[in-house]
Amino acid sequence: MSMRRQLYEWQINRQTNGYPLVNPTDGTTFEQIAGIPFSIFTGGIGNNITMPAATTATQFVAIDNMRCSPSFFLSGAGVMAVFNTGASTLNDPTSIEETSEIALASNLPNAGFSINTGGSGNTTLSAPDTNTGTGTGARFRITASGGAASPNLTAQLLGGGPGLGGSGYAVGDVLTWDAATVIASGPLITGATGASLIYTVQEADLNSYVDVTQVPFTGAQPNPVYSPSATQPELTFQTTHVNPFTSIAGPMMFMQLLINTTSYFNETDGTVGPGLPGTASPCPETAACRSTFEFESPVYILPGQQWDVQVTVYNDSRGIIGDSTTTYNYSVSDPSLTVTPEDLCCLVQYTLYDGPDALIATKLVEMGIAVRPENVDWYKRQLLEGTI
Amino acid sequence: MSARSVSRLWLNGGRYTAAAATTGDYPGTTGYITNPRPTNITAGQATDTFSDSVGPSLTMPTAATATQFIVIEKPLCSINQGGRVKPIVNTTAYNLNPDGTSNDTSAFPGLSYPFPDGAELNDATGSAAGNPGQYIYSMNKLNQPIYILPGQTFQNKFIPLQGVTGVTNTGDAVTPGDSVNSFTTFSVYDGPDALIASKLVEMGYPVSMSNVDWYKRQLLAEAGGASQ
Repeated sequence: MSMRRQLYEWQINRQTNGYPLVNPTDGTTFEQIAGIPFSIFTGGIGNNITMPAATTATQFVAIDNMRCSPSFFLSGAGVMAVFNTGASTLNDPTSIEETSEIALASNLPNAGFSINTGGSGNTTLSAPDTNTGTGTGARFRITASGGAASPNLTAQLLGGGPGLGGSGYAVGDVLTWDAATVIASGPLITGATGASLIYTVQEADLNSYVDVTQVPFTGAQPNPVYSPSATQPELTFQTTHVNPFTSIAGPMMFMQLLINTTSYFNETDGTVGPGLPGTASPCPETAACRSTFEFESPVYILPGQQWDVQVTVYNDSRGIIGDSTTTYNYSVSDPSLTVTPEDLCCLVQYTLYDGPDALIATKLVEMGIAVRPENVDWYKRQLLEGTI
Repeated sequence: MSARSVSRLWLNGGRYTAAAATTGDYPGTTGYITNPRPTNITAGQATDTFSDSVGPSLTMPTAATATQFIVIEKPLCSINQGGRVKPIVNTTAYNLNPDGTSNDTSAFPGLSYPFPDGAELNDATGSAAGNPGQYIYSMNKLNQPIYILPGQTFQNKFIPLQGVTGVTNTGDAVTPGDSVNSFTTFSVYDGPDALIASKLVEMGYPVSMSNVDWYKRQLLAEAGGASQ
């Protein structure tokens, strides 16, 4: 005799025994399961159990709750906001732009230096001797232009490319090279009066992302490919990926409860739909997506019945959209990219009544009383008091 | 005899065609399809979220049969594009203006009945990623069940106050569209449970599964059985 609250958790990125996948290529692609219901118990995808769920002749099950991965429905502007934010992450707004030029008149005093126009056309400076900010990295260069009669100096900030851009710079940072440092930098500079080279970082020198109006993709329609790259950001929103072609973040996942051969969630025209959407009963439940669906009364699995939970996904929510070789749990061959694996999950919470408690549960159903642990206990008290 | 909690999710996702990829007018479907593409909806255009030409549709309009009693519990919709929902029982629209009139703006706004519950206000304006945390939750005080009596028809109209733009692409670039949705939860009482539900309405009791069970217990008690 017992009553137990049980929980079954299913995730797509697991081996049958429940442990994480060893080889990412063992994962499941969207194309394998798109629009096709499969069992979270014995469907052969993710963790499974050894046989279909069923109650014995002495068991009674009440389904209390079902949850699965949520989805978020975005406006077109919302998708672009996700894209632009990702783009800004890729292009660090505090890094120095590669071709930013320092204005001569206001920033580079040339009176103290002479240009050796017969020498090299430019010289690369070492790091500033002093920096009022916290920026590090980047390369700085002095370039000769004009002519011998009218020497001109420009300084060029060299950034861009892995490890060359520097970071942490802010508008107003003052960079100072002592005269000796400047002269020692190369044969382009000759002579000195002891003046320092001073430069104040301008807003135009710093990288900033620009709002884009279109999400590029490649591939044939109607199954185009969106591939995150060093210049195309990974599109993520809340706990999942955004499909820019559907404006839906998440798998658009449904779950259907089957008892013997009968589906619980029917449409109003009598057809069998995919069931309850995860957005209405989400797992995980977050501030951005709370549950809006509850079973007003538990769903009963009577003794001897077989039951199953099937899930269906309709939206390709992997990081790389439309690539049938990419699984939900894949590794990216390009180490410069960081693409978060997608995970799909489903939870079923139920109460298992066994032995005499299952008999009482069956009796409560006959009496029109909801089968809950407190009602089973109430029935037992009635029996002990002899009122039943 | 049964009472079930069920739901209906609708979205403006249509089937891809080459022509639609340039116009954003994707044809509706029967049932759900994979990777549904957001389709155009004109501002003020009312779409029945159960059976219509936009998005996934059922095979026939929704109606309670002679042996069914339906209780609409939560008509929810997306906050994108000024989304609103208007439940209509037979020809009677819910949520009238104080002067008794019914128009598009008198429908239930998604900002009061958002789906998902916790949708970010910025989802609609496109600044969500840069300014998260403005979550919109349902105003439960407005929540009251709507009864669909046996034989009555029911529609749940989604009405955007701003135009909904479908996704389009030119060459190798796509302009994302606006994804809007509606989610309705309801309970279907069938057979004797529907009779009990009708009886509860006559008695002035709200129709809920617990009250239907309570009525059954009263019947059993009168017949000499146990009651709680």
